[in-house]
Amino acid sequence: MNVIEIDNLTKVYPDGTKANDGISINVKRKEIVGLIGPNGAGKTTLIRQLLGLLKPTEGSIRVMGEDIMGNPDVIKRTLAYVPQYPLSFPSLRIKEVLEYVFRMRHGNAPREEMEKKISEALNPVGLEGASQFFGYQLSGGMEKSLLLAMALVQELPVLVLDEPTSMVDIVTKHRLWEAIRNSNREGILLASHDMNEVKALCDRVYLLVHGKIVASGTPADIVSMIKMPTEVRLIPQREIPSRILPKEHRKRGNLYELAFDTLEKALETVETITKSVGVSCLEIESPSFENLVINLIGRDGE
Amino acid sequence: MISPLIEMELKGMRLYKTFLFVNLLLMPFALLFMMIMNSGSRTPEDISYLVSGFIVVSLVSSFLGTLTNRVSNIFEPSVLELYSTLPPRISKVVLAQFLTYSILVLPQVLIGLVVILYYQGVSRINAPLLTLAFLLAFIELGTLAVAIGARIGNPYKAMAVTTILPWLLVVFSPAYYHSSLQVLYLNPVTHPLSCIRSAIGLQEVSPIPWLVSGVLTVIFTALAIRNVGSRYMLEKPF
Repeated sequence: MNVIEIDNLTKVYPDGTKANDGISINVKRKEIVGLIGPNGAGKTTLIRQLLGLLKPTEGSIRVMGEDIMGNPDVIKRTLAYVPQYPLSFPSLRIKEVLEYVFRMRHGNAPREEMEKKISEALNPVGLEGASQFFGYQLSGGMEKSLLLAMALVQELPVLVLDEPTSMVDIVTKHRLWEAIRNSNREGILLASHDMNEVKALCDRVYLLVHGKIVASGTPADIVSMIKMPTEVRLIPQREIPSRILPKEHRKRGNLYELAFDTLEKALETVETITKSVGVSCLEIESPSFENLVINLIGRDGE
Repeated sequence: MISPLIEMELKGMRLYKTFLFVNLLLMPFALLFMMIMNSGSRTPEDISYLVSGFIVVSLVSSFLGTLTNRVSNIFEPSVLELYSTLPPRISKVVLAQFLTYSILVLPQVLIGLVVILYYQGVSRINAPLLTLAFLLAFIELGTLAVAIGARIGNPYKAMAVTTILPWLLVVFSPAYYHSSLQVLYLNPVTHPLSCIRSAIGLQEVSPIPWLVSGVLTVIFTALAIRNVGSRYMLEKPF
């Protein structure tokens, strides 16, 4: 059984806009699945259908094996959600917010148990020292951390995160990634703009453009799906024979700038140069995951 | 489930306690104080008439206005997203808000009633009818607030509405003046006002305001339930 199973989901708004077009996504047990795509790709529409706030035009969504249209209660029973925008509770202390969420979820559980669970939710997101802070005292990063703690304290099997670390500093970002990775959920669906986040956390990725899935697989699969040009800048120890150099090259003093179609060709040439003349300085600009995704999105748009 | 929600709503007001104290207690009671101090040449009926108007004005400005703003906040897409996975249903959250703001406006209502009791005397008050009148007034205005707030779904837009609406409802109702203008009966506030006044012996008990109030309550309740109970809450034309 898949934790989340979205099958042939299509959403057409009353004005005729097709926001999701035959999307099929599944999140298997113990898997973190990423959903990436530019603004307007249809991520928010998809998440809102998953949360039961929008009615799918076609297709089905199953969470923990239950169809959410036939059984909408499954959303509240199994799914915890971290919204994209930091919601503010200015007059409530961090601990109070978590107490209310815990009490809503677990009723009148013993005080000690509640304290323990709240502490377990605060520690991984780094808010243990700020539990008495009021909402108005929190930075953007702390507000996002609180939203994740609110999801964690409920201890539900499925976690859905919409850009959980946007507007967050790099240290907090890594801490939140660690908290998500160690949260031990049955399945996690993560929508994000941050390619590093997706690469760091996700077992599989779906790339959504103009409401359609244009690529899916592991982050490594996506990298291998497309060949990206690679640039090499190097200073050799001696003059490089012209037969070794690629067609596209430029020499500026001792510095050679070489252009290749693929990373593999670039590495082969660098190896040959190193063996024949030696290299004293080397810089390779290899395609980043982000560039690859941009390239894929651009290609699809065309 | 309701009590943690009410507690959360009340605690959520801590930051604004001075603002709330001024708006819910200081200003209304200053107005009430001035009414009483200016009562030397007036009959007890006149004073009770003004104070009953004061009670309804309090309900309109404090209860209807604040509840509309809070409900519109709940219906913001980001808040709906958060609540979609939390245990309480949106209808329960709204009910908790309805109860919270009913509690907050209660001191104004009760103190107004004590003043009326003092001037009118207990014998002229029809307690069951008065209870029914207040129940109708709370439900009518509360459901109107919920219907408007849920429909707007944006606290900034709601603020514009709640700045103007209570004024219109108060100015064009016989809350602080005597008038038999037919056009005032188009105002939904006129009818609960008549109900309350008939229950405290200031006017004859006529079935018409009770009937109209009842019908309005049913209409506003239906609208509120439709807006709050909708299953796909963000399913609106873009």
